Amino acid sequence: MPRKLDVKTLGQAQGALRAEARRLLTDGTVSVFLGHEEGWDGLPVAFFAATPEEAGRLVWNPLVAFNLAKYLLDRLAGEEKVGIVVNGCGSLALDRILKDHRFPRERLYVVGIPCTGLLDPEKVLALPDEERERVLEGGEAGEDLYLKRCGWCDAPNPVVYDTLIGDPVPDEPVAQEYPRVVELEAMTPEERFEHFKGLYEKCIRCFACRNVCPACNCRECSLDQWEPLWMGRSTGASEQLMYHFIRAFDVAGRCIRCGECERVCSVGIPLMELNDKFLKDISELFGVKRPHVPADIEPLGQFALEDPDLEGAV
Amino acid sequence: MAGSQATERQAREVASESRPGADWEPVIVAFLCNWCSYAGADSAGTGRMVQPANVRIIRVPCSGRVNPRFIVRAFQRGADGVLVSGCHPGDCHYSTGNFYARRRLLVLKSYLEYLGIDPRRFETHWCSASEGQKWADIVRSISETVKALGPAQTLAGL
Amino acid sequence: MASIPVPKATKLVPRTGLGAWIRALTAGSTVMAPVKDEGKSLFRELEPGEEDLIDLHTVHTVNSPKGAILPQTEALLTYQSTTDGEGGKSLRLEPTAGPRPVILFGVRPCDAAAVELFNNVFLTGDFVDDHYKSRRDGLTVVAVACRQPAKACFCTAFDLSPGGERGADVVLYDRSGPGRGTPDAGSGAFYAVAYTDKGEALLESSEAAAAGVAPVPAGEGQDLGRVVAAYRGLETPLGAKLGRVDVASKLDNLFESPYWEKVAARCISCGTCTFVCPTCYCFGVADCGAGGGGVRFRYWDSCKFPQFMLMAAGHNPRPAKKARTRQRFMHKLNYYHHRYGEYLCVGCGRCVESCPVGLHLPQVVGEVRGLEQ
Repeated sequence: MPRKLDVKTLGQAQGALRAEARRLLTDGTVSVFLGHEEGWDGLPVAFFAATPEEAGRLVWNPLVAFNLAKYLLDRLAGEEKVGIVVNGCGSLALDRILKDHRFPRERLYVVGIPCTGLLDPEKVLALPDEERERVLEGGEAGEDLYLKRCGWCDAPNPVVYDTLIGDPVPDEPVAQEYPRVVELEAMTPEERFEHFKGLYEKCIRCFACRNVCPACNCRECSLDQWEPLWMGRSTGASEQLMYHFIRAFDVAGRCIRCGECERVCSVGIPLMELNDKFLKDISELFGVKRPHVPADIEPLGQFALEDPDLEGAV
Repeated sequence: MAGSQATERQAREVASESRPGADWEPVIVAFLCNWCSYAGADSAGTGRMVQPANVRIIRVPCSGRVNPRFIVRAFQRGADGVLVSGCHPGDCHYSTGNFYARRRLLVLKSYLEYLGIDPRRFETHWCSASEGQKWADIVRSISETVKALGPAQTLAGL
Repeated sequence: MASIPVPKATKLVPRTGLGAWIRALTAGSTVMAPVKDEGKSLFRELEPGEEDLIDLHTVHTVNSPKGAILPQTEALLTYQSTTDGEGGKSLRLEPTAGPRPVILFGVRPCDAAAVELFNNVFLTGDFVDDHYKSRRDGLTVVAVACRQPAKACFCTAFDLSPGGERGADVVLYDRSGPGRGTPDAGSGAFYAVAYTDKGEALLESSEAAAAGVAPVPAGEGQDLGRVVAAYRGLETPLGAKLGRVDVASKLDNLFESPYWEKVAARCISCGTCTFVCPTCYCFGVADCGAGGGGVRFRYWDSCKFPQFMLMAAGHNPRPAKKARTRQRFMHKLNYYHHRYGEYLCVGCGRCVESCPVGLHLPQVVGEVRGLEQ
């Protein structure tokens, strides 16, 4: 649900974030703090502050779209405590990693910041200079500039944190709808087959969608294995079908609907068409109201005696 | 890579059998639970029940062992239909394996349809060791259904 | 910078005649061109009737045109083992069919130059790669000069230019010269300048003439020279910021620098940079087959993937992200430079635009300059 950007509050949050990170690094609570700094083109990039001075480079603005939680997997070895900043969806990504038991909570210090919406960095970058300034400094952003995920966000406040910066924002339930899935479901099977074939053919299999995904956190990915060879190394629609099936099914019930997979896809494959179908089905078949919010036991890791039966044909 | 080559080989053999033509016969891959449906299929055979020869059986320890990838892999390599059969809910040899399978396959079935694979090509059944007649009926029914549908669409590979 | 070669032929191609010309080219060759695809510009084979979809406006296609000479998957040979009556085994190998000639239409000068960098690798030294050679021999490159380099462009940092001819058989220069926006599709024309015999043949063919490729009007020769020089003199935004890349020898002593740890931290080990890069050429070889027969093929691989160097016995010489990240930049900026005397980068800027985490070559060059030895 896009919300009005409050530039003043964001600025205060950035100041408080720097102060908090500086405190944590100074008193030794953490030995590194995961946040964002300004990249060469002005867009935030991931940043690992290791000294109190470096904490001064942290930024907090409406362009911090990238989920940092996945970087924790790089720091599994060792005992160091890690600080991390999360907004609402960032905390879902973090919770995903925690619920999957992929990083110990006791080695984490989480700074949470309630979110008033994130903008699509690519779209903001493409704006003429004056307009970009109006957006970033005046907070005047049209609906279309927000990240897609803000449209269905029902978790603007961090779900995991040790320190919360600022006040929680009003948190209303948002009906989870999947318009693109509904649209595709209305097509004939043949049309859908052709549609997805087009997507498979476009894929260059760079694995950006997998590597950015907080739910894709296995120690070893079966797509990388040679034995069994789930995905042949030759590229083409057939192997890409397998790739995208495996990727989507393995995160079914664990996808946090952040949409990072499709945002980072360089060739523009709308990957959420695949993920959303699972979210929609899981919510309809098993009555899960917020299928994208990490649960202690995932929908496909459990069963109910009264689950619909599926014997026979359609 | 010996194992994967064996899998590839089986898959390609399946694919090469599946050529459209006047005397075209569909190829249907069936994953059967060792403790019930596999024995059920056996009893259908020993009971000399007449059934079409389109089904290729792969024995698994439990319907819960069936990774959804197995099914997509079968379609990817040219199967025209896929069948999973396990113990009746409540009768699982491992007490709950088929309940997990049911949930997973329910989602898979809907997803296959979404990807444009005709849902009639994928069936799930519960068939116990003593239900030889039911097995024969399942085989007859899916063979007829898939034959009427014709060869499944496949995607180009190397 | 090498001196500018004397054009072999110059022609005028009206914008409205492009479609007809490309259609004529399609008759004898596969034409690959930038095509608009749901908001993105992709380099791909042109299907019949798609001439009007060609996108000569967007500076960068998402993917590079390298697939024309090094396809992402390329069959190398087929094999079949047979057993005779006595149980003796034999293996029959068959080469794969030769490729169709390809015309790369509308590539940017940076991408054209990248082809030359591939030549160093695949055609020089003790081993000539036959598969590459047959594709390269059948390749004709029609480049289009950039009217306005994109924000991420830095070809000038490598002595290339938005109007350069390196690697191109023909370069198209929009007659209106460099500038913002797209000239009206209904009017305007390109100067087509052939720099090679292949390019000359392409421009002088009767098919080209029939499609409206005409001589440059008398008296316009000076304009042509001025326009071409203007393109060649264009600066690129990131290139201006970066200056001439000069870090090869400095990197000799930085292999063990802790810098690599720092720069690698951000990398998510995807292969985007290597796959969109016009100069990354690393590949793997695998077999796909059954029943004693099958295909041996090569496929793009990426030094960013943890499995890239994994050996059969389980040893991985580059297990850490640091080593993998260092490899990519050292290869482009140091190893290749030692071997061939130039950098393995043409400054197209795709890594800048596509990297999901904003980690790219110009930034590394800048940071390496600031490092102490």
